[in-house]
Amino acid sequence: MGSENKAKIFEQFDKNFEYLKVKYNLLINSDIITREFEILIAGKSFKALLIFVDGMTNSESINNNILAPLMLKNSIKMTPSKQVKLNNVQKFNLQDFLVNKLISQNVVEISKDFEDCFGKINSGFTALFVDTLDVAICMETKKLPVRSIPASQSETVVRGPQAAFIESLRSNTSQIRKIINNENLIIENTKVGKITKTNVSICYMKNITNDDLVSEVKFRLNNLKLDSITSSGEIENLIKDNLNNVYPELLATERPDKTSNLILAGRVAILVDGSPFALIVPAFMLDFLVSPEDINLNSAFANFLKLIRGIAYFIAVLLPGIYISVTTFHDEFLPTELLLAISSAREKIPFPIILEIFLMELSFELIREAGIRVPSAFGQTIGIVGALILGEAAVSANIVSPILVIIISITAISEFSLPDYSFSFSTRIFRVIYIILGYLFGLFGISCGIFAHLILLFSYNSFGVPFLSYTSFKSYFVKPIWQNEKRSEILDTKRPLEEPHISMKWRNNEK
Amino acid sequence: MKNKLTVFEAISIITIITISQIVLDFPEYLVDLTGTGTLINLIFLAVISLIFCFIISNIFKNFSNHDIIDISEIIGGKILKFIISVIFIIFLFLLAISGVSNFLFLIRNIFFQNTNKLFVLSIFMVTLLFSATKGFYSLKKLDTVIIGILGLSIFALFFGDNGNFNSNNLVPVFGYNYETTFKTGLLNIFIFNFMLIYFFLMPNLSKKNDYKKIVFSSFGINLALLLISVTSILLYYPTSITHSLTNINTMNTILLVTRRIQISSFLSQTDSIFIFIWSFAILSYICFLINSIIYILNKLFNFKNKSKLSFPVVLAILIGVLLIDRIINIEFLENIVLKYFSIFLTFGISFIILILGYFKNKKKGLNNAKKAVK
Repeated sequence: MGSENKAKIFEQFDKNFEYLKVKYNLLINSDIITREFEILIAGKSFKALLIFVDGMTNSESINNNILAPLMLKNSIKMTPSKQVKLNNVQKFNLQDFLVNKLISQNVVEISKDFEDCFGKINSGFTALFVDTLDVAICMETKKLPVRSIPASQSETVVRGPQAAFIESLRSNTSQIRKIINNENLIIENTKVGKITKTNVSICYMKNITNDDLVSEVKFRLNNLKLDSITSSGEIENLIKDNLNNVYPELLATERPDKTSNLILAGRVAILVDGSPFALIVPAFMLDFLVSPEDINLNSAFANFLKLIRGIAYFIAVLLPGIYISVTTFHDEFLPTELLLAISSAREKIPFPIILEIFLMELSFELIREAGIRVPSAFGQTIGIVGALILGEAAVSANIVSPILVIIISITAISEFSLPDYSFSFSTRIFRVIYIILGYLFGLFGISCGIFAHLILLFSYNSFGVPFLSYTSFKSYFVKPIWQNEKRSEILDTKRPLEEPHISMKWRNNEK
Repeated sequence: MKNKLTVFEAISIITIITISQIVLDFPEYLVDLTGTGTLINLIFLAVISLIFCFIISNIFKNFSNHDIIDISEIIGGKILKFIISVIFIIFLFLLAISGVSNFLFLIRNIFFQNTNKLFVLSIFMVTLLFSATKGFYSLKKLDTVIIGILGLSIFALFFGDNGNFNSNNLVPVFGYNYETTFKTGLLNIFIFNFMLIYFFLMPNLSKKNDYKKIVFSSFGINLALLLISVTSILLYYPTSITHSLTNINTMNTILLVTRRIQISSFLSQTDSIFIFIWSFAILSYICFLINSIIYILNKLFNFKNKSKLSFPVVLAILIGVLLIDRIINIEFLENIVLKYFSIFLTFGISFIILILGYFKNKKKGLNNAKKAVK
C-alpha cells in the first residue's frame, strides 16, 4: 500500500487522470472536484487538470488565481526575446513558466509523487496536472470552515485574556505568534498518522529552550507509527514517559496566553490540527495547581489562592480516607462531643461505613457524569435532583449519615477547585485507594499509602525532567513580578535570566 | 549521576536514620543505662564521636571515589571485600528486621491489638517492596520533603507542652555515678551508628568537596535531635518509671511522651498524629536499609538489574520479622546484638580498615615517588 502511494507522477496526462480516478474513487466521491481544460502556450496546447476538495478550498481563489491566468492570459504578449517558439519547446521549461509566469498564487509547491500530492490535496491545496510534466503543481487554496475565537471554557479567568484555541492549527499558531511577537519563536511542523497525516506543530523559543528538550519532543513525535491521530489527547498518551501513570504528564491548555508564557519560560508547546488544546512539555505536578489567573494578581493574593488549592488537593484525595480511619480506628483522637455527634448520626445507618462512603462516592460520580453528558439546559435539573437525593432523601431514609454528606461535599468542592480537569481524575483514583487503606489499616494505612504515593510521584519524569521535586515545591509560590529574575533551573534553559536584577529602572532613575 | 547526593539530600537521609531510631525508642536504652546522667553522657560521647568524624573526614579526602567496601578491597583484596560486605549486609538485615518488628509491635499495641500480625505486616511490607523497586532516587527526593515535618515532630516532643515538665527529673546531672556515666556509659556510643553512612558517602556525593560539610552538619543536627529526645524523656518521666517501663516492655517511652502533649482541648490525644508522621520516618529508614543492602550486594556481584533484588531482600526481612515472635527477642536484638554490632562496625572494623587503607595509600604514594626519583 505504502509503495503504491509512493508512485511517481507520470508524464502522460491520461495515465495521471486514470490513477487519480482510481485512488480518489472519483466516480463515487462527491467532494473531490476535477476540472479538465487546456493550456495554450505559444500555439501549443497542453491538456491540464485541476483537482481539489470541495469545502476545503477557496473557489474564488481557484477561479481568479489559477484558472483565469491558465485559460485566458496564456496568450500573453511576451517580449521577442522571451517568446516561446514551438521548435524550442524541448528547451523551454514548462513547469517554471507556469509557476513563475502564470500562476499568481502565493504558496506553490511541487509534488513529484502521488503520496505527497494527495497529502496536499487533502489539506486544502489544489493540484494541477499538465500533460508532459511529471510533477504536480500544488497551490494553496485552503479555506477551511473555522469557528471564531471563543472565550476559554475550561480555564476561565476574571482578569486577563479571554481568548481560547480553536480547531484550526494555523489560527492557534498565529495566536501564539501574536502574543510572543519575536523572531526566535519557532513553529516547526511534522505529520503524525499514516492515514490521517495530521499536522502537528512544535513551538519553542530558539534562544531560550533547551535543545535536548526540543530534540526529544521531535524524536518522539517523528517516531509514532500508527494510522491515525485525531486529537491532542491521543498524542499525549503516545509520547508520555510513564505509560501507567494516572497523572497527566503533559499540561493541556486551551489558552494562548498561558501557552505563550510557558514557551517563554523555556518549555515546548505541541499543537495538533483539529484540537483546541496545546500540550506543554515538560509538566511538573504543581503546574496542575496553577491557574492562569495567578499571574494577573498581586503575588500575595496569588500565593494565598495557591495555598488554598494545595489544601484542596489534599482534602480531595485524603479527607474521606482520613474520616473513615479516624471513625474506625482512632476515635480517641476526636473530642468527645464530636465523637458523640458522629456516633449518634451513624446510629441508625444499617450499612458499614465503607459501604456508606462508597455509596455516596458512586452517587456523586454518577451525578457528575450525567451533568457533563446531558445538554446544558438539563444540567441544573440534574444538580437539583442530585442535591435532593444526596442531601435530603438519603439522610432522611437513614441510608447515609449527615456528617458523611458534609465530608463528601467538602471533598467534591475541593476537587472542583483544582484548575486542571485531567488532573482531578487522578485524585478520584487515589481517593478510592485511601478510603480502602483507611478502612483496613487506619491512619497507619494512610501514611503507608502517602509514602508509596510520594515515592511513585518522585519516580515519574516528564520528558526527562522530574515530575515532582523539592525545587518544584520551592517554585510553587510566585514571587512578585519584579523578583522573577531567573527561569526555572530544572529546565536548564539557554537564557537563565528572565530579567535584570533591577527590572523597575524607573525607581532608580527617580533617585 | 542520578543517584548522587546533594548536601541537603545526604543530611536528610542521615537525619531520618536518627529520627527513626528515636521513634524506635533507642533513647530509652540510653536513659536505661545512664539514668539522669544521660545528657552529660551524650555530650561526652559526642565529643569522642566528633574526633572520629574529624579523622574520617580527613582520611576520606584521599579516597574521593571509594567507600569502605572499596577500601577493604584495596587492603585485603576480594576476600576481605567479601567478608566486610557480608558483615555489613548482616548488620543491615538485623537493623531492618528489628526496625520493622519494633514498629509493628508499637502499631499493634496501639491500634491493632486483636488483629493478625501478618495482616498488619502485609501493608508495611507491600509499601516497602513497592518503594524499594522504585529505587534510591525517589527515596532521596522524598526524604528532602519529609525531613522538615519529621524534625518538627521531634522538637514538638520538647515544646509540645512544657506544663508537664519536672526539672527535678534531671538531677543528679551526673547520673548514678561517675563510672556509669563515663565508663559503662561508653556503650551508649552505639546511638551514633548513623556515622556508618560516612564510610559510604564519599563516592555517592555529587560534589566531593561537600563531604566535610555533610559530616559535621549532619552530626550537629542528629546530636541536637538526640539531646532533645533524651531531655524530653527525662523531663516527663522520672528515670525510675522509664526503667520500669523498659522492664515491663509494654510501651514505647517516646510515644508515652506524646500522650502527655496536649495541643488544645480539641486535640487532646495527639499520639495518632505522631504515629502517622513517624510512619514516614520508619518506612524511609527501612527503605534506605533495603537500598543499602542492594547497593552492597550489587558491589559484590554486579547485577544487571538492581531493582529485581528488592523482592528477595524484602522477603528475607519478612521472614526475619516473622521469626522474631516475642518482644523479648526484639529487645535482645536491639539492646544487646545491635548495640555491640553498631559499635564494632562504626568505631571498630570500619575505622581500622580506613586507617589501614590510608597507610597503604600513603605507602603506595611513597613507593611511586621513589620510583619516579629512580
